Amino acid sequence: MRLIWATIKEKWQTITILALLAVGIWFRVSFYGDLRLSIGMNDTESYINSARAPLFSWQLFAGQRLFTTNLIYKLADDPQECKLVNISYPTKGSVREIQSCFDKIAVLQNFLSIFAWCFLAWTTSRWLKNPLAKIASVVLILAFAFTPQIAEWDSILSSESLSLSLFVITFALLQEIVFRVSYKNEPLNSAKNIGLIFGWMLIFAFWVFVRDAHLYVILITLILLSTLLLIKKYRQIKTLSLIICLLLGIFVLGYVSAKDSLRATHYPLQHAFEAYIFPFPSRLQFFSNLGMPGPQSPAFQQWFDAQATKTYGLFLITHPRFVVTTMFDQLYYFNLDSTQPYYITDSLAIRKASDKIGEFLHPESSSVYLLDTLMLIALVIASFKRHDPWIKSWTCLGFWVFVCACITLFTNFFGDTIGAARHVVPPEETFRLSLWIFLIIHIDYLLEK
Amino acid sequence: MKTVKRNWAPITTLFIIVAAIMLRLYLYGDPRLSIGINDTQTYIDSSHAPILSWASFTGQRIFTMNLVYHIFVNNNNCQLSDISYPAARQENDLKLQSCFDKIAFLQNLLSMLSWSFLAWEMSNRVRTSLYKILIAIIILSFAISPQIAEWDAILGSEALTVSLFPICLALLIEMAFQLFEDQTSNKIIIYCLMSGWLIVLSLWMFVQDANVYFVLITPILLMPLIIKDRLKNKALLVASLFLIGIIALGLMSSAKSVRWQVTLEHSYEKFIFPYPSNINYIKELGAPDPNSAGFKEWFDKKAPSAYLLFLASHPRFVISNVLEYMPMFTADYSQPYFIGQNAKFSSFLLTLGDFFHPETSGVYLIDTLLLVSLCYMTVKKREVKIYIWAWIGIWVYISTAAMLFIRYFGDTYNVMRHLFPAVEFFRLLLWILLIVQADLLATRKIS
Repeated sequence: MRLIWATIKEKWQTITILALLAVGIWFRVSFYGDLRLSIGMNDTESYINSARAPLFSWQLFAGQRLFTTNLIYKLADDPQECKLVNISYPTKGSVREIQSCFDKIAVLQNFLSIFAWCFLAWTTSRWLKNPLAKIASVVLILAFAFTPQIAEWDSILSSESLSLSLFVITFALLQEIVFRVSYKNEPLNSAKNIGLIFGWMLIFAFWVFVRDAHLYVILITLILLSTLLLIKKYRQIKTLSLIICLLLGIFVLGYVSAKDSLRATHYPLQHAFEAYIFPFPSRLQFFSNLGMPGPQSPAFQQWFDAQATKTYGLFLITHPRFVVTTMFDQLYYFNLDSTQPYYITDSLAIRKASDKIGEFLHPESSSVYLLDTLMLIALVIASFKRHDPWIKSWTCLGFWVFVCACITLFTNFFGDTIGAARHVVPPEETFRLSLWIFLIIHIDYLLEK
Repeated sequence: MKTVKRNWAPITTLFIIVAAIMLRLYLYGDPRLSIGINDTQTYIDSSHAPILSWASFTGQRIFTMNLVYHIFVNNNNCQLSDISYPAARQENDLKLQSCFDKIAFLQNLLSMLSWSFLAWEMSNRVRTSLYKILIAIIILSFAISPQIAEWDAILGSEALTVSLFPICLALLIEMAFQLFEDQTSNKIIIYCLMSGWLIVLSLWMFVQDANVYFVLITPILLMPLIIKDRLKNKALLVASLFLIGIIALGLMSSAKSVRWQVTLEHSYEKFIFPYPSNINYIKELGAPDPNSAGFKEWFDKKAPSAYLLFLASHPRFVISNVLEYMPMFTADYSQPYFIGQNAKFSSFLLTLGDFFHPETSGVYLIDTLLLVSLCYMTVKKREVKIYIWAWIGIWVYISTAAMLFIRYFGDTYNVMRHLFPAVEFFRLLLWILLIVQADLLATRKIS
């Protein structure tokens, strides 16, 4: 008995965190209905069709949808058995159903989500120092994840749930790697770290292949990793060069498969051109100067398939005023209530209360972006002011998450105008999550003895 | 050149303040423009009482408003011609109105000075150069956005409530740092600051009855400081005694006036009468049946104490009600009385203002987390600077919470307008605590 008390006394932080995780999981599993419940939406059919490509074929990458969703929708590969019967039309107040085959996808999404958020809560608390900050971080992250604004997306047969869950695992793994190497001074090429790195790359690759907009995050990750090569300590490690080469490979694979698939130009970019380019003669002129035939001419589609992505990217880079004013004019897209609109769950016991709590944690306000920026600046200043690997590690991680969220928000917003409100949910939620994580890092650093 | 180099942060802050004032004048047009609201006539009528009379405290409106309207609206030429009724969809444009132009000008001037003063004071008390500039920009952006600035043209009590508060806060910060960090031995400075603070706080308290509950917290919070110094700090002792006196005056004059009756009737209509269990509760406290002849007599004597007792003994009702009506605490408090004078910039400024006025319940959670961490640090580190910021944070937080509570449960009519100042103080506190924390992060020493 004395031994038990001694263990509890010594490990009370870990025990409390594990208890909080257990309570969180119990809440999540108990209060959102049967985990097999699912509902389709207007895009679900395209995921099913795209997944019909043979397993290790090029089509699995270059199909109508991307590799990760194609792989997961293999669970609903049988056209006879797997019929999508429940499709949501948001205005009609649909409800979820247990649908053959799709129940497995819903269960997978739910489990992945629960694991991802618990894992993030665990790793974040692990690398904080103050016991109260550790506990607060677990409570905040679990409350953030297990409120309807995030949790309800896991029943929807779409890419949002996977986008959120896989990114969260990626971030949690990256925390583990960065702190082990830079704070604990463990060698990058130790067996444990190599395992973690390849685990991270695998999950990161899966996340990249959920949506085309994620591809550009590889570029910023590569730039950040390349800066490490300027430090002698890291330059000598071959593992780092290998990681950079592999990431470059994933980028090339993603870029080529996206181009080959024509999924960007059919139809997301068409929507973007219709909204932002065609109605404006001066913008049309910019594209004509770069070789675009007239939109009505027969040669247009060929040019569009081959050149539109690149030229549109160039247009956005060279027209910062257009970018800023468009984003500013449509700022409400970035402050939306991210609650899913596809099904109603009024019958669930504590839906209303958890939604209210969720409003505290998912601020529907542009202030989130300002707060994130200020808190990141504070971290950068603190890490420049003193040589402390702990604060430097958090700053690098914070910077990476912030830039990832910016890039995905930007590409999701400008990449397609139809369904933009849904497309911006994952990056928008990443910004909201960053707010709480940055805040806890600040608090923890200040409370440190 | 050396002076400029050494003092570049204060010079930049000063430059930012001047630029903000000029921008404010450019964006919002003539500061004499005004518009009346449904309450304005009551301010005019109430101000007819002699200024230093008891009636000036117990009238239909309260002392500070009576004072302002007594000074500027004191003859028969002062006819209020431009009144807005947004509920009836009658929003007029701002106009130059004789006499009222002076009130609008005073409100605008006070607003510009008070926010500039707070920006300067915060910038002065933050240590990192970058944050000195950032806090000035944030506070001035907060104040210059339409969510705050447009209220200064409206002939209500909101402009004065919002403008006098930054002066109180800035004076309190200066006084706290002079007393505890700088340990100024010059008593004249301390007594000047304290007198200024007490005068402005008193004037602010007498703008609206609900403000009394804000000030009520102050002597309670001052008590530990006085006890810690074993009553040696006479300045704090005098301040506390003065505040107790002024609070007593506020509560007594409010009780003697008739102004609480109408507002409390609204509250009873919303929170008591529709619920049989709540009616039973007040009956247990001696209230006759609400439809009986004796109810009015009981109401005039006992309604406020019975209502406060009801709220204190029904926390579940209070919490569930607040949660149910949470959108009221997270609203966009842009004034609804007139259309932006400068239409070209109006929507742009409102969007920009959204960044500084977070319309989310997250504000309360962030404020709480920042303040709790600051208090925890105070206990752990025992640094004077942290101690001061924590005390000021607690003062604003608890007092504003009390004010918000009273404003919400005290009157159910025009509740959005009544909640506006308290919610904005919570939003302001967020930015102040955030920058203070960032500054501590940049300047902290690792032991």
